[in-house]
Amino acid sequence: MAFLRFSMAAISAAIFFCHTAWADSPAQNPGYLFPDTTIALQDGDIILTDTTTLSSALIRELGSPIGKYSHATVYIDFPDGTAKLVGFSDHGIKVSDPKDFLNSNYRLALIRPVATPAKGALAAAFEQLSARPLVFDFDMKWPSLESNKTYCVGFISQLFRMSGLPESHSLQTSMEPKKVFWDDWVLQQLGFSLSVIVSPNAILTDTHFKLLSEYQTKSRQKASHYWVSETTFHAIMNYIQQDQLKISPPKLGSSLALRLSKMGLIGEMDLLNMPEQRLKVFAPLYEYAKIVEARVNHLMFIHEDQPWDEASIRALTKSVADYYRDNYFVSQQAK
Amino acid sequence: MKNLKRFSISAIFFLVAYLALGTSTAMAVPVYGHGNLTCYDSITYQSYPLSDCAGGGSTTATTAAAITLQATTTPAPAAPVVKSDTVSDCTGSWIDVTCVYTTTTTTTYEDGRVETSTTQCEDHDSVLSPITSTCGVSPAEGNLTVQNLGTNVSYTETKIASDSSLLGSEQKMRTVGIVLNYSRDLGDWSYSIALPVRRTDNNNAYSALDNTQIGLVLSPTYHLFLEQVHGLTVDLGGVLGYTHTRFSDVSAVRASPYNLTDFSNLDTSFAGLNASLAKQLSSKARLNLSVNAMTYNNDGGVSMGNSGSILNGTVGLNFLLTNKVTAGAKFNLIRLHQNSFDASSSYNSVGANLRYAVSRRSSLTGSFDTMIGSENLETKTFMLNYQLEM
Repeated sequence: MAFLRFSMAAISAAIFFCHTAWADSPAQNPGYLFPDTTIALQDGDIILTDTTTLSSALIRELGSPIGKYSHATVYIDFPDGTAKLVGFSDHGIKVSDPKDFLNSNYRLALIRPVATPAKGALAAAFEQLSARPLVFDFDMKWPSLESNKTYCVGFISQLFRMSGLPESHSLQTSMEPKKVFWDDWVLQQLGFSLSVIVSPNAILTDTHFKLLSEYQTKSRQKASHYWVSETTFHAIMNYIQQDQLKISPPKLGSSLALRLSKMGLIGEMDLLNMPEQRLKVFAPLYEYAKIVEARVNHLMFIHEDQPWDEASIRALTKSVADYYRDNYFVSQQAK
Repeated sequence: MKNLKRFSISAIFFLVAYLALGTSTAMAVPVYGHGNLTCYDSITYQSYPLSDCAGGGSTTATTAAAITLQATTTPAPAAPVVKSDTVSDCTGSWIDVTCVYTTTTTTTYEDGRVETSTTQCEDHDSVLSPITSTCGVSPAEGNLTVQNLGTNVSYTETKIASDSSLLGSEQKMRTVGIVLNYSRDLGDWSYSIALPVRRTDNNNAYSALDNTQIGLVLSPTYHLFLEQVHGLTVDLGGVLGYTHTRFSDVSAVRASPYNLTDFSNLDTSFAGLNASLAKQLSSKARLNLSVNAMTYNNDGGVSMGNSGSILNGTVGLNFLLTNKVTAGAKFNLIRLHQNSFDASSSYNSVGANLRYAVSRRSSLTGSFDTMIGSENLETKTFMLNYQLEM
């Protein structure tokens, strides 16, 4: 009897502890909500973002179509129960924790494919695609299914196509008037055709997808960072288009740093993998943007008593950009 | 005289002055400073030129229904205007410009009635705001220049051992100095100007060597690597300076017991090169390395050692203790060479400093340096430095 009582107690305890252990065990995929919504991310959801780099600004402002976004990642449920956001950039494949990713970007859009991908199809496609020697295509041409040269939107399209979903992009063929100048400039200075770049904004107009929600960070710091970078990029566009200035050659420090970086003597620089022609244009712009940003941040720091809102931060950035202009841009006549 | 080869008068005064200047004559230029916030303080809005709004208003055909139209006068269309609420601010953003065409039509009827009607037509266009010098700041104007003004007050105690001193007894010097410095950043380049003034007093036996020194030091610096861009700072610089040292009693020095018949006040010119590297090792630790090479020359008749050189290498670490306080330590290797005697001496010194951010634009640094491991020469220097961003 005593044995029976003991056995019952043991079984009850075992059931209790098993249940407790199961209930306390963190789910591998806890379910991630899109910020400020109750929408849980699903396999195949695309998150559009915007970053503050020059390349991002170029895609956002001059890609087809023009829009608010410059980068795209896809949410994938993996067989091991985890879920990650997967993207591709000039640094290669990047797999991010969804929570960290959603918290770290200035602007987000949640887009869901109309046709739900088969369970595990995207994960399998990712495994297959990431096994290839993928390289970033700085010309950002639309990749074929077999192409090993790709970029963010192309990479996602490849994943979807490999998963049996329809090819998802809508290339804007109509040239917008304001891009006439830039098509020529980009071709001459950067050596690629702007008109073929399908920007992440194309997904917003693609009937295979629907926009569920958009979000803009409430982080003052991230917003400020974005305003500064965007205003600097617009200033650069003004100098080139309106003032008809050309970009100065890379400075000695940047040239040297890139060489040292290529030799592995100093940390890898952001621009390192760029084609040589584009590097000569981007290196001075990169330096210029960093200098302007640092100066603006410092001025805001020492004048913390000022009510820094979007208008005043943008205005300050424009002043600083103008101030440093002649160090990085020269007239067309200058040799 | 043998011992004097080690410490000639000109060499020792130059060395002490060099140490009191902070071991490095190149004044640090902060990366960024205060600027004139013209744009922020007074945002001026720029109207978009109406080149895209060519044409003007359209002529309106007016019908008079049952009443016969006698005459229709349509004045010249007014120039289109841009809606004020769509004018760009100074961000230079892509903006929506709305051209508003206004047409006023006057219709005169047979019965004498006159009707005036006004129609408006809006033309929306998206253009890039052609801002080149908005916000009251043109590229060539404004006052966003990085400028720093600093004051460095120092007190140095120097002891020269008996067997190395001029009179064979221990020489003690106390030097009080003040250096005013101004630095300005010009983008790739910066420069600093320093004005040192020092007073040195000696113990009794050497009181004839008491002196006052004034000088001018110019240090241009080229910023090869910028921390914000390249992840580390590398500066290459030069230093050019002049000091005049006036002794209290030159005739006493010329006479016995010094017996230096050609002794005179010192006019010292010096020139050098320096390279420095700084890197943030972590959020709280920063590494500084610098190398300075400098030659000096004394003009006029001076006893012992008309020219020489100083080579100095420094390694330092600074730690951020709180948001306002930084502590640092450094180690110097100094090599002094006197050309006249072809004699060299090496010294080491260590230093520590504590920097307090008084405000976001000003800081106060207290520091202490002392020579270590030298039998013939001891120095202790206390410095207080105040820097203000203008």
